[in-house]
Amino acid sequence: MSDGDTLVEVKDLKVEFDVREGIIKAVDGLSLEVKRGRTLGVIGESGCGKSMTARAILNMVPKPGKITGGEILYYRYLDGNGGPGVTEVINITQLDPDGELIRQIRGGEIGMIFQEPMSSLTPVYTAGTHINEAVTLHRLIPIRKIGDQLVETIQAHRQVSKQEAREIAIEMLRKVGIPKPEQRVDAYPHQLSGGQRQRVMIAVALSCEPKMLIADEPTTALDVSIEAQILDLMRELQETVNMAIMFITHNLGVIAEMAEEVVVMYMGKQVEQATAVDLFYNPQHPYTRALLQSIPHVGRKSRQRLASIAGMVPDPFHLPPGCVFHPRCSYFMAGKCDVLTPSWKQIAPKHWVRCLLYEEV
Amino acid sequence: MAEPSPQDNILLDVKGLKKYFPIQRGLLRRTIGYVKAVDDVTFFVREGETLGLVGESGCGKTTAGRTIIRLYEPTAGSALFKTRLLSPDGSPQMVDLLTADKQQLKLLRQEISMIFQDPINSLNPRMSVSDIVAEPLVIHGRGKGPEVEEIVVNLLERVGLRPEHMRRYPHEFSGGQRQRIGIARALALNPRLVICDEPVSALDVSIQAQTLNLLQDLQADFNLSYIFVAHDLSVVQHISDRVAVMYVGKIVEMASAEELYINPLHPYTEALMSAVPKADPLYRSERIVMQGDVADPSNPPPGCYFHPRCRYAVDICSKQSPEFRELRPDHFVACHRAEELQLKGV
Repeated sequence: MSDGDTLVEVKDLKVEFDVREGIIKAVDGLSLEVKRGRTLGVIGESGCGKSMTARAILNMVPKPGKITGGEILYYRYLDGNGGPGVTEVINITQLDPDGELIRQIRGGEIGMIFQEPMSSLTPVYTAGTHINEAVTLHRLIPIRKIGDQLVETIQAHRQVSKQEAREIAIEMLRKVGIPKPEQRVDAYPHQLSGGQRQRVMIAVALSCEPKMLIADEPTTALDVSIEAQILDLMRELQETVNMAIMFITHNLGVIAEMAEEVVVMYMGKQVEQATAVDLFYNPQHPYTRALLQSIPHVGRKSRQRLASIAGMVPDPFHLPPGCVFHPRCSYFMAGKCDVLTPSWKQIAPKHWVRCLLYEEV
Repeated sequence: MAEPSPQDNILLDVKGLKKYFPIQRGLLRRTIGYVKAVDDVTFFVREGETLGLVGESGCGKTTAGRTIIRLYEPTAGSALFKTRLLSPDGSPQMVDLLTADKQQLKLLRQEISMIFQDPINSLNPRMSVSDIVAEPLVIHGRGKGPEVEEIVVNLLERVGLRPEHMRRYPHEFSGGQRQRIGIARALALNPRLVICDEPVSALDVSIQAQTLNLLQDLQADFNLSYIFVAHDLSVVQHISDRVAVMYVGKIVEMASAEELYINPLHPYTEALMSAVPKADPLYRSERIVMQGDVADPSNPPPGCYFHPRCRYAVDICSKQSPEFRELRPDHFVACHRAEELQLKGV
């Protein structure tokens, strides 16, 4: 299935949360491929499983969640020291989540940026826990200088001295556009603005030159002018180091700008996948269509009402039978959509959809 | 702008509004400076229209809204509001909200209400939905027991919630439903003006559309005026008749929504709009990158506050503060070079 360009291949991934009220299928049979140097966008509303997919790729699903099925193959390219390199295939789901190998991959080969870095801190953790976590999870610790945090990450993944690591850190801060990096390297996170903190997070994530960056709503908490700067920066860095990006967001504008290929998720399943142009100009799944129609477009003023999606996301413990979207769907076909489960079907080159409208039943 | 008379269709006329927060240091809490959160802001709201107030975080848009309704005490300025409640014969008169005394204010607050951003923290978790929505009715002595209950049932139906759920508590509802509870509460006293502070920014895309549609329907049904505070330019454009753009405590431009987005007159408006990601993968915009960070409102630069980031800045911009003036009918701008610049809209 994969060619030499594939970096990460997710096959029929299932992530479940076993809680008192029952089992939540956070990710339910997801398959996708991330190509080297390309950007894959993942969109969906809250609770659709997009962030859980990202965490599964790093084998970091929080308890009581568990990967219960499928595999995540990481095509790790080993440089052959001048000779031809070899590709080693690692199934991430089989790795010990605390083991040496996954810790090398996490942060070193696959970097991650979350939403606003300060607010994702958990106040109940001790500083020590934070520091260990920061190295793997890329979070800023409020009580430590940003430079020290960068140096630590770099040293965890690269064989360099402290002095060299500090120089790399300053260089990274310069690359992400932090003014006066030689001085800023000794600043504490609270001395930076939100946009600068997010830049530092990108610097942390990129300091080990990862092959892939998972960006989970990286600009959602930022103002548009800062968001624009961060998006430009990510694209620029992607070009220089040939890094793959998995860009997760609910913002359709951001996806249109960043992604070459887009996966739309609803209730743990992918409902449509296509190139960005196809998806925005020729959406096939009723959910994708409704999403696109429900957003106001800047510059296109109309007095009309927005097309909204009726109802709300179903209760994950009582999923509707058949297609999970059928109670909200404007193309609902009685006797079909509420009975049969649609399958994942290719309808055009590079265009897949999960909907009974495209199946002969 | 001339003084509005009660016969005009101006509902709220704000002039020279200022809100400075003191910065205090040391044991004696000496005031060593001020954060000029809202700094000489002038705008008006017509009856039945929506004025969008847009800008980046920290620009003072929320503070402006809260100062008008006197959640913060103003530093200076006036805010004339057209009301019928204070005159004995019910004829309309303009009353300054910023100098109204406690009793007047209590009366006036029946006509002005607020919807908040965070639908979780703005609802008391210990009160049932019916108590939350009924609270303003009880405070202002509008009816008792069954009467109040009837009003609450009507309100809940109107905002699309099932009246059978009125005994439930806020945590039992989804984000979008909680925002509907907040809207029902805001409408309980039949207000004329509703200040909406980022009412949809915490909601998912599909729920956001439902909520915006609901706000528009309610506006038509009850002839409401909205001050719609938000940072999302596309949402503001969609819902607003007119839009005011704020930057570091000042309004830099104000015009009808169509005009502002097609013919911006202020470089900040132009840059802000160019930065919005467009939901169109084939659209390649010429993005204007604003250098540096937003100015510090406790220590703003001299002259025009935007000049250090402005690509059109000339000498005068760093020396003189530009006047907020009506350059075209109903199009106000504060920029020295507004007459000569040819700016690009979207």
